[in-house]
Amino acid sequence: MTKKLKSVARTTHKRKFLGAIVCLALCMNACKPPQKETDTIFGNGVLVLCEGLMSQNNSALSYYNFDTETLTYDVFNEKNQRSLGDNASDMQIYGSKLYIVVNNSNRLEIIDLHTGVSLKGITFFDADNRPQQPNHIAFYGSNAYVSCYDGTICRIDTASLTVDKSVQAGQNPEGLCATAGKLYVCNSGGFNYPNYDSTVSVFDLATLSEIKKINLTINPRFAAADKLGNVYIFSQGNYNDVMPTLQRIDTQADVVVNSALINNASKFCIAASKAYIFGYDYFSGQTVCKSFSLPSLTEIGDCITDGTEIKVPYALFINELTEDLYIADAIDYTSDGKVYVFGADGKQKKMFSTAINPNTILLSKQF
Amino acid sequence: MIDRKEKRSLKSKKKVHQFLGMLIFVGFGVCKAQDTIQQRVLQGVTVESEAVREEMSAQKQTLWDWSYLHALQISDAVKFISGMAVKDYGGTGGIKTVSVHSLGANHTAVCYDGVPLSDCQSGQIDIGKLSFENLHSLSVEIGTGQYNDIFKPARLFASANILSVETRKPSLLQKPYRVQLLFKAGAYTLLNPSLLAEFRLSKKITLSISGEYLYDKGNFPYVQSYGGADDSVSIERRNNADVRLARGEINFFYAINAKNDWQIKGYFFHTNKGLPGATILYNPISKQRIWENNCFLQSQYQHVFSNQLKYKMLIKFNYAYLRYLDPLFLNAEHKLDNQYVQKEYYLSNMLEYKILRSLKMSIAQDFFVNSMTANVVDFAFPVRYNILTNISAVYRHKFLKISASALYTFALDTPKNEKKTQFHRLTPSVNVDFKLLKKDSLYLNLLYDNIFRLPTFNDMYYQLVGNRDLKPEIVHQIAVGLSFYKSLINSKLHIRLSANFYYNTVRDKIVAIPTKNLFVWSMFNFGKVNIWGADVSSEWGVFACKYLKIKILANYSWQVAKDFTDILSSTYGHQIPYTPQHTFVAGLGLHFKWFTVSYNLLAVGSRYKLAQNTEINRLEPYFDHSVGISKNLKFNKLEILFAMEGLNLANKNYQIVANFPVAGISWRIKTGIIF
Repeated sequence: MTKKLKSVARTTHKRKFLGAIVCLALCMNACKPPQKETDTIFGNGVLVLCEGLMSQNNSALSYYNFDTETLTYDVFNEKNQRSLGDNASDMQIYGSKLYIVVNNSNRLEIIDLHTGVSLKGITFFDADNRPQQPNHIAFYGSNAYVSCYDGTICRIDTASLTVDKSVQAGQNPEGLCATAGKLYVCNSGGFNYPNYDSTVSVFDLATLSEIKKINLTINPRFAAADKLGNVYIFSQGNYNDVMPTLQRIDTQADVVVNSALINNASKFCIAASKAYIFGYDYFSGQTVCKSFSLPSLTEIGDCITDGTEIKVPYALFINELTEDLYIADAIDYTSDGKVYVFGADGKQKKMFSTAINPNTILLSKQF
Repeated sequence: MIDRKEKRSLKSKKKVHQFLGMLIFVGFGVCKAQDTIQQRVLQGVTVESEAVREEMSAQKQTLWDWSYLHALQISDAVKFISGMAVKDYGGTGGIKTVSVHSLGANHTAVCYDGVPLSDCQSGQIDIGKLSFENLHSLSVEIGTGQYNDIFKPARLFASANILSVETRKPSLLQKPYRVQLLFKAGAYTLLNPSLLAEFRLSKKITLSISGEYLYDKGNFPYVQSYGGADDSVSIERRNNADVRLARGEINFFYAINAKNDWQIKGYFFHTNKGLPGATILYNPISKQRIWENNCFLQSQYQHVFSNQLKYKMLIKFNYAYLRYLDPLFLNAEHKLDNQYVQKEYYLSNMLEYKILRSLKMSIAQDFFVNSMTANVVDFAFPVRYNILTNISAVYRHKFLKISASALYTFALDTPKNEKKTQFHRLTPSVNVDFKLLKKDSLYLNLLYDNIFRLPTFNDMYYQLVGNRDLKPEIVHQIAVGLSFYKSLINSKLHIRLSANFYYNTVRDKIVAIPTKNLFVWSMFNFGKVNIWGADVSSEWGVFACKYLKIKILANYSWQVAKDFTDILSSTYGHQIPYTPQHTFVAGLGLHFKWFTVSYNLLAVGSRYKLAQNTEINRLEPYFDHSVGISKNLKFNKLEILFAMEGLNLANKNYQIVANFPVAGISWRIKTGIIF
C-alpha cells in the first residue's frame, strides 16, 4: 500500500507531448459531459462532492441512491480504502470516468465509474515543487482543463491521463468553461485581497493560446456556457461596495453583452433557458435562491415556494430532464450537510444528509 | 505492514508493563533487605513539608516536585496537574496552550513570577515558550485567585483561571554563588544547553542570570493514516518542523531594608521556526515560517508601612514582534509576509490593610495599555486602554475562611480612524473554606466566580474576520471541593487527596462562523456551553526504607462540556471539540539512594475534532508511556546530574490536535553540573 501511494505521488507532471487531437465537430458545454448511458456501479441516484473542512483531510464523495433511499457517506473511501484528501473543490463526469479536483491535496483523482476505483491521481506541482492548487475542471473534446490558483491552466489528455500542456491565465483562475472551440477562464485574483482581478481569459483551444482578456466586474469566480453560444460569468464583487454580478458574454465577439446585479449571491448554475442563482448573507441572515431567464437575465422569481428554509446554500444542480432542483445546505460549515430536492413547482420532494460542506452535485447516471 | 506495526506497539506496551512490574519488585526487594526504620529524607525530596505550608484548597493545584516527570517544556509538566488540558500541536515548536475545565485557553491567564504574560492579539499564551530550567513551582488556581494572597495585581482577579509559573529565587546561605549548567539532547537532533547562575553581590543584593538555547530539527517519522476500511498507511517524515530558540533572563533582588524590597526582571526571547502545519494527504509541501521576538522589563517594589499596611507597585513594559511568512502564497508577490508588533505598558498599585486579626482587605488598581501594529491591508491599529480596580477581603475564624472580591473593569478601544468601543463590567467572586476536622487537614471549599474575557484584537479587528460589535464572553464557575492531607506511620506515608466538582457556563461565547463563504469567517457572540465535571487527584509519598522513597501522583478528570447554542442544530447537546470525557495521568518516582527511576503515563479518552459528535470526527484515545532514570552525584561542592528518558514507548503518533501527529518512541538525555 505504502509503495503504491508513493508511486502515485511521484507521477507529477512528466509531460508527454502528444499531438493534441482537436475535435471541432463536438461542441458541448462544460456543464454537460457526453450523453451516453454507461454501466456503472451507481444506480439511480446523485453523487455529492463534500469538501470537508480545511486541514481536516475529510473531503468525501457522498452517494445517495433514490431507489433504496440510502446514503453512502463516502463512496470514494469505501472503494479505495483512503480518503480523497483535503478541500475537494470540483467534480465532473466525462465519458465513463469521474474527475475530482482536490484543492489542498493538490490532486486530481480520476475514478472509473464501473468500479468506483481511482485509476490515477495526478498531482500538480510546478518546476520548483510548489503546490499549484488545482480548483476547477472543464472538458472539451478529448481534453480536460484544470484551473490552478497559481495562474496555470493544465490540459489533461483524457486517453493517457497525463498533463500534456500548461499555460498561464490571469491571477488565481477559478471557474472555467469551454464552448465553440474556446476556453473561458475566470481570473478571480482572490489571493490579492483587496486588489481582486477583473478579467476572463479566452483561450483558443486548438493552440491553447490566450486570444483575449475580457474586462468585467471584479472577482469573477464561476463560468458556464449555454447551447446558444453564450458564456455566463459570475463575479463575486468585493464583499463590500461592489455587488455580485452575473454577466453574459457573447462568444462571437467575446464582449459582455448584459448583466444583472444580485445581492448576496455566491454561486450559480444554468440549464436550458434558465439560470439559478443562490447565496447567503450571514449579517442580514438572508438567503437568495432565484431563477433568471436566459439570455436576457431578467428575474423569474424564487426557486423555493413552500417556505423550506435553507441555512447556507452551498451547491446547486438542476436535472434538465425532470427540472428538479437540488440545493445543498452547508448549515454551519462544520457539521454534516444536507441536500434538498425541489420539483419544478418549487416544493420540496426529498431531503437527505451528506458529508461536510457539499459543494457539487451530479446525477450518478448520465442519460 | 499494518499488522507488524500493531504487533510492535503491542510488544512495546507489554514491555512497559513488564518493566513496571520489575521496578516495583526491585523496590520491595530493596526494602525487605534493608528493613531499618529511619526517618531520613532522601536528597531532593522535601516535597510535602513545603507543600503543606500552603493552605489546602481543592481549587489550587500545585506541582512542587517534577523530579519524576519527563518534561522538556513547561507544557509537559502542566499535563500532570489535575483538571488541565494542554492543546498541543505536536513537536517542540508546536503551539501549546492550556485550558482549564473546558473554558478554553483564552480564559487561562499565565502568570510569570506574579505578573501576567499578555498576548492581546490572540489572547492565548504559548506555554511551550517557557523554560523549565529555572522553575521553582507550577500551580493552577481555579476562580479568580484569592486563596491566601489577596495582595496582588487586579489583573490576577480578571481571569477564570491562573497558571502560575514561579521561577527560582536565589537562596544563597552557604556560599555567594550557585551555578547550574545543563545540557539536554534528544532524538531528531534536539540540542538544549542552559545556564543558571545566582550571585550574592552583597548582603542586600542578589542576582540571577539564566539563559538557554534550543535547536530541534523535529523531523520525526510518523505513520500517516489515509482513513478507510482497511486503513491504508504510509510512513512519512514531519518536515519544516525545525525550531531555534534563545531565551535570556536576568533577575535583580534588592532587599533595601526591613521595610523596602525591590525586584527587577528582564526577559528576552527569540525564536525562528518552521510551521509544519496540518499533515495534508498527498501534499507534503510546507514552507511557512514564524519569527518571534519578545522582551519585557518588570519592576516590583514593596513597602511595609506598618504591621497593618503594606504597599506594592508594579511596572512592566512588554514588546512582542511576530513575523509570519508563507512563501507559497499565491498572490501577485508570491508570498505573504505579515509582521505584527504588540506593546504593553503596565502599572499596578496595591495596598493591603489588616483591619482586625481575622480580617484583611486589599485594593489593587491596574492601568495598562495594549497596542498593536501590523503591515496588513486595512489594519485597524487598535489601542486598548484598561483600568481594573479590585477590592478583596479575607475573613478567618477558627475553621472558617471566607474571601470575596469585586473587580471593576473598564476598557476602551481606540482603533485608528474608526469608532471607539467601551466595555465596563463589575464581576464578583466568593470563596469559602471550612476546616472539617480538628486534627486533620480536611477542607471543604466552595467557590463562585463570575468573570468574562474581552474580545481579543484578532476577534475584533482581523481583516474581514474581525467583528467590531463583539461583546465580552461571560463565564460563571461554581465548584465544590474537598482536600485532605495526612501524614501517617511516623511520617513515613504522606497522602494528599483532593476532589473537585464543578459546573461552568459560558455565555456569548466568541466563535468563528464562516459568513459569505468558507474562506470568509467572522467572529460572533454565538455560543452557549455548559460544562460539568470532576477532578480527583492524589499524591502519595512513601518512605519505604532509608534506601527508597516512593512518589506517586495519580489524577483523574471527568468532564462533560456540551454545546447548547441552538436546539435545532445537529451539534446541540454534543461534547465540544477537543474535550475528552476521561483523562488519567500518573507519575511514579522510585527514589533509591543511588538513583531514581520514573514512569509517567498520560491516558486520554476519545474526543471529537469538530462540533458534531460523529464517528468520523472522533479522535482515538491515546496512551503515552515514558520511563526515565536519573542519578545525582555529589562531590564536596560539586553536583553532577545525569538523566535518561525513553518517551512515548507505545510508539503511536497520536494526535492531540487533528492532523498534528506527535513523535513516536524517542529518547532524551540530560547532563549537568551544579557548583
